[in-house]
Amino acid sequence: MSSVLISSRSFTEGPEVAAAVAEALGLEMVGESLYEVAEQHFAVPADALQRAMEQGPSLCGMSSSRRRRLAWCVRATLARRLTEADAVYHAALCGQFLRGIAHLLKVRITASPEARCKAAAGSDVPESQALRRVEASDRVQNEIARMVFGLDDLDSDYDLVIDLSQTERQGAVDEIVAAAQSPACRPTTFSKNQLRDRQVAQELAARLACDLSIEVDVRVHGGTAEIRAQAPERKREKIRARAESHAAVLEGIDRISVETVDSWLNPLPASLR
Amino acid sequence: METKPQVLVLDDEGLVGKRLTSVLGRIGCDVEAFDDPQQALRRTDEKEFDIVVTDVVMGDVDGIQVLERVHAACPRTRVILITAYAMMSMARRAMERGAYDFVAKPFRPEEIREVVLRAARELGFELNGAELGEANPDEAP
Repeated sequence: MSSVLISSRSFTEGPEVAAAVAEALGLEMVGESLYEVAEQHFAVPADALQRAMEQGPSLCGMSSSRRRRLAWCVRATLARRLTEADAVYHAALCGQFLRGIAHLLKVRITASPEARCKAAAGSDVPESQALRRVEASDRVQNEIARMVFGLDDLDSDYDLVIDLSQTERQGAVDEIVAAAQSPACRPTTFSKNQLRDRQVAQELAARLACDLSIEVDVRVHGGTAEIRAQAPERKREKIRARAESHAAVLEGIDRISVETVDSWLNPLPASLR
Repeated sequence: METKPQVLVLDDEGLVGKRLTSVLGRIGCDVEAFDDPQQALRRTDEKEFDIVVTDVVMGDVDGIQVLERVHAACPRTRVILITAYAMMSMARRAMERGAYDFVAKPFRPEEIREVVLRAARELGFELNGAELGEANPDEAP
C-alpha cells in the first residue's frame, strides 16, 4: 500500500475525491490538520504556516524568505506523518513534496475551465468574474510554488492527472485506488529509506531555519547530513554547532557537513524535496 | 521442500556475493553466489531457488531480465533487486515486473538479511534472524 498525495485545482471536486479515496483505502485523511500538528511540534502558529503555503504574495504580506522557512515546518511534519503510517494527504502543490519516492502516489485533480468557472460562479460571483477568479487562483498557486520550491507546479510532477470533466467522481476514485494498490507503488526498502532520510533532512532544515532564521537546504544520505545555508562564511561554525545540537535528538545523522553560500546573487538551488 | 531456503546471489562485483553468502549463511540459508549472469541463469534453469538476490546493472544481462527469466520458470521465487543506480522509475519498474523488494547500494548487511528473512518466512521457512544473524558492521558491501 502507498500513501496518496492529492492536489486539486480550485473549484473542482478534488476535496471530495480525496475524502472518498481515503475511505476506500481505509487511510486517515490529512489536510489542514497538518498545520496544527506542525504548530505543536515547531511552536509556529498554524495560521502562519497555512498562510505560507496557501496565501498569495502581496506587498505587505509574508516575505519569501519567511515563507520558505515556515514551509520547512510543513514539509517536515508531512514527511514525519508519512513515515509513521500511510495516509491520504490533500493540499495544494503536493507534486512538489517528497519528490522521487516510489511509494508516494501523486495525484492532481483538475477540470475543464468551463466546469471550474461554473463552480466558481456561485451566488455571490457573477459568471463574468468567475474566469478571473479561477485564473487568479492558479496564478497564486504557481507563485507560491516558485517562492517555496523554486519551481513551477506542473502536471508532469504528478503520477496521475485526472480531469473531472472527463471522468465521473467515482471513476476518479477507482482509478486512484487502483494505482495506489498497484505493485509499482508498493513500498520497497529503497523507498522507505529515502522517505526516512528525507524526513530527517527536513526536520533538521526546519529546526535550523526557525532557530537561526536562515535560508537552508539539507540532504541526508547514509547518515551524513549535508547542509547548505545562505549565510556569511563566518557563521559556518555557529550553524554547525546548532546543527549538531539538533541532530543529537534526531535518529539517522552521524556526520554533518556545512557549506555556506555568502551571496544573494548566488542563491541556493531548488532543494531536493 | 528443502529445510533451508535456497538462495542465489548474483552480482558482477564478486565481493558482494562473498559477503552476502556469509551474512545469509549465518541465518540458515543455503547460498550460491555468482558474478557471471550467464552462469547464474544456467544454474536457475537447473535448480529451483526460493530467493534470488540480483544486481540490476550488469553488462549484457540486467536484473530485470533475470527477474523475468526466474519468474517464468518459477513464479513463487522471491526476487530481490539491488543496485547502485537506484531511482524511483527503476524501483517502480522492478516492482511492476514482480520484484519482491528493491534495495539501493550501499546497503547494510542487516537490510538484506531482514528482507531475505521476511521472504523466507512468507515461503514457510522457520528462521530466527535475531539469534542467528548478528550483523557485523565491517561487512557492508
